Amino acid sequence: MTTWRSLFERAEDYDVGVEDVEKALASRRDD
Amino acid sequence: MTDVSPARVVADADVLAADLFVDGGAREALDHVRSHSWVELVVSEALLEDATEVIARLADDDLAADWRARVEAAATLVEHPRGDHPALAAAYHGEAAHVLTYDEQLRSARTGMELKERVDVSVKEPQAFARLFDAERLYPTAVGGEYPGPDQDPRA
Repeated sequence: MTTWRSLFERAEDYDVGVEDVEKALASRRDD
Repeated sequence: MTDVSPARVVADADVLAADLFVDGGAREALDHVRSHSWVELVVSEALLEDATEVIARLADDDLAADWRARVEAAATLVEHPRGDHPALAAAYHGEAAHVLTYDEQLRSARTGMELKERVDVSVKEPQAFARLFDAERLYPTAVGGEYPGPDQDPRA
């Protein structure tokens, strides 16, 4: 099982902020 | 109105994804959940699909799939009708007292009043939940006895 620690470290490779997440979710839910 | 549990928490898909990507309020809030075996994260298929899609769009499919597998292993899955708002419906059907979201509309006073008529749920920004959540105060009623402190590694 992948650990949260490992997932967080992998996610650091992407420059993603809260606003990016909000926009992506709004876009998906608008589809 | 159903009996909700203050130890059950729903995180909307934006908070679930923000927890993964940002070392901030969402992670701080969900660390409270991950640190205590008796605090449940409640999810639904629709919530997981939304968050997985967001993660795949912003990162890659492998990370999204691994994230989903990790959440599924830890969370309580509830079912609700398609078309309902995933976070609110998961809270209603999962009898959760807390919904965490960055969606201002969902946190608005009007939405709050409308919700209170149907379900006793508190909709908060994750930062506010992280600040207000008091495991020591909640433990005697949620579990019983004296709070032993966190019982899980939030990074495991």
